[in-house]
This record gives sequence, structure tokens and C-alpha cells, in this order.
Amino acid sequence: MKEKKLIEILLDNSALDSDRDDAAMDLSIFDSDEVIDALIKVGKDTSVSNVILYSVGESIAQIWLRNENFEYNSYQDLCSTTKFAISENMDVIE
Amino acid sequence: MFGTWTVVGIRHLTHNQVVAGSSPGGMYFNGVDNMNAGWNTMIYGNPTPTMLNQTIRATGVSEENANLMEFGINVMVGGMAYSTTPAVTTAFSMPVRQIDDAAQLWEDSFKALVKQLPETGQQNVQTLQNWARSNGFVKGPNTSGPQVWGVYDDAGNFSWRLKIKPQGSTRTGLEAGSQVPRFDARLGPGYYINPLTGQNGGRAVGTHIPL
Repeated sequence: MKEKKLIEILLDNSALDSDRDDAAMDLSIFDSDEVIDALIKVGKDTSVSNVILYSVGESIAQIWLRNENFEYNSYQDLCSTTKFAISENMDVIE
Repeated sequence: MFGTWTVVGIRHLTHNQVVAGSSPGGMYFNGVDNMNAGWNTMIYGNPTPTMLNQTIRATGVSEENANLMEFGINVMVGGMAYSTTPAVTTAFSMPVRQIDDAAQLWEDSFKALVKQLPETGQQNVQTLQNWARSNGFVKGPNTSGPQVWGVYDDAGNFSWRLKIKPQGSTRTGLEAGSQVPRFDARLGPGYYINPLTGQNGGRAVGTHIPL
């Protein structure tokens, strides 16, 4: 329930950037596919502000690290800011 | 190993940066929430965008942020120029500022929101900004949302260190810490800090801290 609300805020283009940023940050503690899907959806949207994109990448990195997972194809589709956040938080070395 | 990539792990920074100390900030609920709530009601009732609002949006700024910027400008000039009744002609009696810089507008709206904070909140914002400057952080390139400070790497990537969010959220579903003016601070990925107290550690230490 909690994560659904956060996803709703993250996906809401009319929400304040500060609220979407908080939602992106707070989603890092959840592991469901729904959360990852929402983060990836926003993380590849070039119309989203870099502040949010970075937080999205940070949360994706934390979830992938916790689950010892790395979805290369998903990563490739992300915006450069999101990718940078993931690489910075996971120390991904190409 | 994941394909051609190697995940090394979260980087833990070990550098010792000087942190400006001050008294811990408290939680402040002030008139800004009520004011914003009233403003949002006005806006989302049946808005008639002012010329100023339309001009801001023409620069590529979203409707939400244009509303915020306009709000900030109106607060600064001491007038409200938004009509929720279509039949009422918008009376923007002040000269409309020549607007060609979305970043400056956003900065102005940010300052206006900060001015709505209690005195201690305003002082905390100043302390945080001074902390950022003293650590060599620079303002981020954003033209909406929180004021962000951070560092650029050699490739031009921006990594945040401080995010100041002077407007409490009215959305349900966010953590309680998001309902008030707040800030997030860190010294690097995975290494958070509260510059107002000097405490550092994990996410809980440096995120959603009341101003």
C-alpha cells in the first residue's frame, strides 16, 4: 500500500519535483517488480528533471545491490543522469 | 559479474570534510502550508493563467513549476495576480517582468518560499548554503524543484550533496518528514550527513531533515 502511493506520486507529472524526488528516494527500500518498473519508467523519461532522475538511479542501484541483480537491458535504456547515478552508487565499471 | 559489467559495491567515502556546526533545526509548521494550500485550491479550482504564468510556461517550464514561480514573484512584489474565475479579467497591475531566464525565475521563487519560513528556518537555509560553499559545492543546473548543490566530475556529471526543499508536501503517501520544509545532505553516495549537527551516517541521518 505504502509503495503504491509512492509510485503514484513518482509517476505523477503534475506533482512537485520535491515530492517526486522524495518518492523516488523512499522507494529504495522496496524490492517489488512494480517498484522497479516505475523507477525504470521514470528513469528513461528525458522530460523529467535531473534531480529526480538522479534519485531514481540511486534507488535502482540500491535495490539491485540488495538483490544482487543488474538488469543490463534496462540499464541501457535509461537517461544518462539515471545511468550516472547507478554507476556512482554501484561502482559499475564497464 | 553481470555480463561485461562488474558491480564493486557502494562506495564509502572516507574523506574528512569540515562541517559547519550550528544548533539543530527544529520542526516548524508555519503559515506557508496554509498559504500554499489556499494557493493550490485557487490554482486547481478553475484557473485562468495570467500573462506572467503563460510567459513562464512558454520558456519550457511545466505548469506546476510555472505556478510556483509565479507564486514566488507575486509574493515578492506583494501582489496576487491569479484569478480562479474565468469571467474575472486577470488584474496584473504591476509591470510584467521581462522573462527570459527560467533559472532566474526559479531562483526567485525559491527565495520567496524561503522567506516564508520561520526565522530559524531561514537561518538554517543560510547555514546549509554556507556549508555547501565552504565544501566547494556549486549549485546544480536545475530550473525547478529543490535547490541542489553538488560537484561535477571530469565528464561533467553532476552529483548532489545538498537538496533544500523549502515547501512542505501536501500529498498523502510520503513520509512524515516530507510534510514540512526539509533538506537532504550527503558527502558522497551512501554517506549522509546533517550539516546542522555534524552527525553523519546512513540515509536516515541525512534525508528529510526539517529546516
